[in-house]
Amino acid sequence: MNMFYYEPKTFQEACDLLNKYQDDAKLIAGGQSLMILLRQKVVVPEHLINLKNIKEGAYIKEEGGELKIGALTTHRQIEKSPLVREKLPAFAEVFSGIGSVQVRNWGTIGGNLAHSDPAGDLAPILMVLGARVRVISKSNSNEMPLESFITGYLETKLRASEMLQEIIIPLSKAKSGMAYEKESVRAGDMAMASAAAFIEIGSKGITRAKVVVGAVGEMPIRLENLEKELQGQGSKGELHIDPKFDQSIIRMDPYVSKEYKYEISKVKLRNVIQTAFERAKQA
Amino acid sequence: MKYPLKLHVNQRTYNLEVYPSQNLRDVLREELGLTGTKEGCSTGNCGACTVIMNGMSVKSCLILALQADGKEILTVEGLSTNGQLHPLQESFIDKQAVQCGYCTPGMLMSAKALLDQNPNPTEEEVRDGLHGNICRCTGYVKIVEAVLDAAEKIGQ
Repeated sequence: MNMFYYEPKTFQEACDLLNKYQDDAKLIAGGQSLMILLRQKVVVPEHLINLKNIKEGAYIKEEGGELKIGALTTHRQIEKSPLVREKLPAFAEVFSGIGSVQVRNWGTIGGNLAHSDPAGDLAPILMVLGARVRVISKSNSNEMPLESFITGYLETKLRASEMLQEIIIPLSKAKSGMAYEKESVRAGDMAMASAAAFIEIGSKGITRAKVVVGAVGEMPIRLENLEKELQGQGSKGELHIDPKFDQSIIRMDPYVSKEYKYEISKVKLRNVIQTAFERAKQA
Repeated sequence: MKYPLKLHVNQRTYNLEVYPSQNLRDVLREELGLTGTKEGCSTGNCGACTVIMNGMSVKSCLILALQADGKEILTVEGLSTNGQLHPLQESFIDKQAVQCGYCTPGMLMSAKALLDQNPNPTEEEVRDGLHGNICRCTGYVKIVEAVLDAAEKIGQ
């Protein structure tokens, strides 16, 4: 089949192309996931739209107490950004464990989230940070929580005519801390289990906790019961953490058993909650 | 349908026509005959296809050839100048950092990108810089030694 290729220079041009070709089109940014699917012919688009020339799509800025990151910003740009290192050091730190330098040099944050691999590192972290995403089409622009944007295994709310434009991370004014850990076969590989926690503390202990378990299910999952249990804890030092969750969400893995994934997830959850709490105390 | 592609590789300019689905590695190897860049896994894990594009190390199997349009590419063939090996290449020989040799071009390109940005890396920084390159023979010790040795030579 013939494949046609486009290089839009702006988001508007990209949206116009998407509006025209709908499901027959596929967007490619860094392509660190899509290139494999193209090669294996899992994805065979009639129209391939390269987003890498949209210069207005790669930026990191602080605006109104929020960090705004263009969808076409590379992992490496975020990792090295002085602004991210200052405002969200625990987020900047995570990138050294994502893929390799080569992958981070070309792969983008928008591509990572739109691909929605449940083993991805960024979604659990951005979910606990309360991030939102801006989704645009030819004539619309909407914001939604990342948590509702991700709908399943390689699935998101994006319709055929829509694309990601921006990721918005609110910056907490409270004493807060975030932590992320993952377990993988080889350092830097995709996670077989991961966990992220964000904790805010006040004079009476934990005022807000967000906890996500990643990689084990069809998508990263928030553990709201655990979050509630953490509420109010920690005013007198030690936390009581019981990171159990519904094991039926755990999917098969080529490397390890579901039981192992459950046990390692609990270890990671306990670690990240403890670390986020310590970081919040030191903030 | 083919599209025009202007590639600057090892300081030579090539005007080509390629299909949208072609990756950069296949164009380097098959259209330009630059077979130093290796095909290992084709899934972005092994790093054997690493080249330097506009100063950044990238995996050429995970880049559309058309995305490299107008960019400066350096492959392992461009490392030596006037028949003189690059210090990294010399150090790889001196430290015996090569066994079967298949991963070596990718290792060299990752190491070059690292030293260009960080001329005096620590051992840990070298290991991080080579993290995306898999070697199944050496166990990495001699490769890391070679990169540190080359950094020292270049610094002198």
